[in-house]
Formats: sequence, C-alpha cells, structure tokens
Amino acid sequence: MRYLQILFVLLLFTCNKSYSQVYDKAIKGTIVKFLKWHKEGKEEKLGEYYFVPRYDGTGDRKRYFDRDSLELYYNNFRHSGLISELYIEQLKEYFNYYEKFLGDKPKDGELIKIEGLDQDIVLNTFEPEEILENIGTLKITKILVIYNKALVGINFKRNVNMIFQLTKTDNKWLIDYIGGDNTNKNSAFSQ
Amino acid sequence: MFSRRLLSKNGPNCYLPWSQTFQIYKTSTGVDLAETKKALSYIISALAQKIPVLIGVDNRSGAPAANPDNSTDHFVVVVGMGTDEKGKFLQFVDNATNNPSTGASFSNRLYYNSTTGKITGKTAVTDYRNYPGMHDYIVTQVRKSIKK
Repeated sequence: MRYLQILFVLLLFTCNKSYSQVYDKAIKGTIVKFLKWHKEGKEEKLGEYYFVPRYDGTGDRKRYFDRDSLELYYNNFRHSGLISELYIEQLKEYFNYYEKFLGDKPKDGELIKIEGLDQDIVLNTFEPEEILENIGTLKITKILVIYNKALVGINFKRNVNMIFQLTKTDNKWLIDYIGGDNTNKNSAFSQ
Repeated sequence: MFSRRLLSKNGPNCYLPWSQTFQIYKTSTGVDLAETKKALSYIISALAQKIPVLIGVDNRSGAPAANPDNSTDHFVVVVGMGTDEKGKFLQFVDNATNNPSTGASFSNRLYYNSTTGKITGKTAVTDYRNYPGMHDYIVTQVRKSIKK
C-alpha cells in the first residue's frame, strides 16, 4: 500500500511537471518569437512614417501625433499574432504621454527631436541591445501560470532582468506587458 | 540613438554598454558625489585622448507609467571642457536639432556646482528647450567610450 502511495505521488509530480513544461515552452516560444520579430524591426517597416506630429489641434490638444499613422503602427503588432490588445493600449498611452511634450512647429528645413522616439518604444528602454543581443541565451527565472494568465521573469544577462505578462487567447499566448525587473538595485533599468 | 551615431561619426569611437556607466544623479536620490568625482576624472582623461564622451541628461520631470527610468531623458556628447565667468563647464554637442549653429553652439555648456556636485546647463536648441514641461539639463550619467 505504501509503495502504491509513493508511486501515486511520483506519478502526480511527473504529470504536473510535463504539464508545466508544455506551458513554459509555449510561453517562451511567444516571447522569443516576439523579441526576434522586434529585433528585425518588423513593427517599423515604414520607419518614421508612423510618427507624424500635427499642429492643427484645438483646446488642450493643440499638438498631437497623427492617429491614422499610429493606427498603421499598431496594426503591425496585431498582425504579428504575438501581442494582445492590452499591450497596444499601453502603446497608445505612451504616445498620449509624449504628445504633451510636442513643441511648436519647427521652422522650414529644421528638424527638432521629438520626445519619446529616441528610445526603444517596444521595450521601453534606452538599452535595447542588452536584451536583443542576448535572446539566444535568455533564461526563464520565474513563472506563474493561473488559468489563462502568465507572469514570467526572464534573465538576459547579469543585472538585465525583464518581466513579461501574457494571456492565453484562442489557445495562443499573447504578450500583455513588457517591463524591466528592478528587484535588484543594480538593475540595468533602474537608473 | 542619434548621440551614439554622433559619437561614432566623430572619430573611431564607440560607447561601452550600460555596465560601464557612471550614474551620477537620479531624480529620486540626487547627486552621487563619489560617482561624480570618478565621472569627471574619466571625462578629463577621455578628452585628453580626443575621445568624446556620451552623457545622459534629465530635462523633464516624470516618465510614462511603464517606464522604470525616471531620470535620463536625453543624450548629448561632451566634446570639450573649460572655465568661463560662470565657472567650470563641459562643452557639448546636442543632437536635438539638425541645425549645426545651435546643435554645436559654443553656448552649449554644462556647469559644475562644486557645492552640490550637480552638473547643469541650457541647450542652445531653443525650440527643443522650450518644449512644454522641459527644464535645464541635469547630467545623470556618463558613459565610457573607447576607440574602435
């Protein structure tokens, strides 16, 4: 009887492990595919065309980013099949935030920097190389899966840790959120 | 990104990764005097070897919700140093414009306050400086560069 009990516990442990490993593989697959997709610049096929400042607004929004151009940018993410609408909502918040810093229309022939466009928008960092040059060796350090949600900690190199949040939709894991993990005070993202 | 290009355009230089950075100021904790001292020593030795230095600056408050970096907003390239009637300064080139008369203006100077350790200054790129919510540049980090 005791042997049967041990066998049952071992069987349960083995089954759980393989169930979890299937999850881990699918989740890691989405993250790696997305990072490679971004490294190839597939969200910016048309370059600066997506980020067009407009100066014809009224009220609080005198200056703003052209919504139609931004929508084309968001559609690139949708077509990747790796990103959820929740993530796209954050991109929209990003541009709403930086819209506040748009200055007056520059003089003809002069280009003035637009805030928010000189960093990696997707990863929200000035240090994308630290992540994108280490995709091949990334390691999942922590993973929590509850029903259709996953919270994943990933290490890319020393002091370069990221958090990914995903949702399972139509049997596919889609990325909801990407951010730096600043648990460590020496984190690359806690300047 | 433009600062990085500027750095490599002006001679065979490239900046080193984040791990080779002097973080001298954060909005949350203020000036790190020990790091500032090291950073200034580094800038002096780099400029003596004709290596320009990439630095990060804080020029507005806050950051988008998902962005953990609440200090560095912009990067410029230090190309010289000196002393004028306002004190000791770092001369910089600002890539916030394509206009060389303001981007590389002699008035692009960041002054060292020996009491607080803060290094601050104004860019000559007035159209950028006058963006809503902007304040004077405060040097947040100094990146090491090497000759390729």
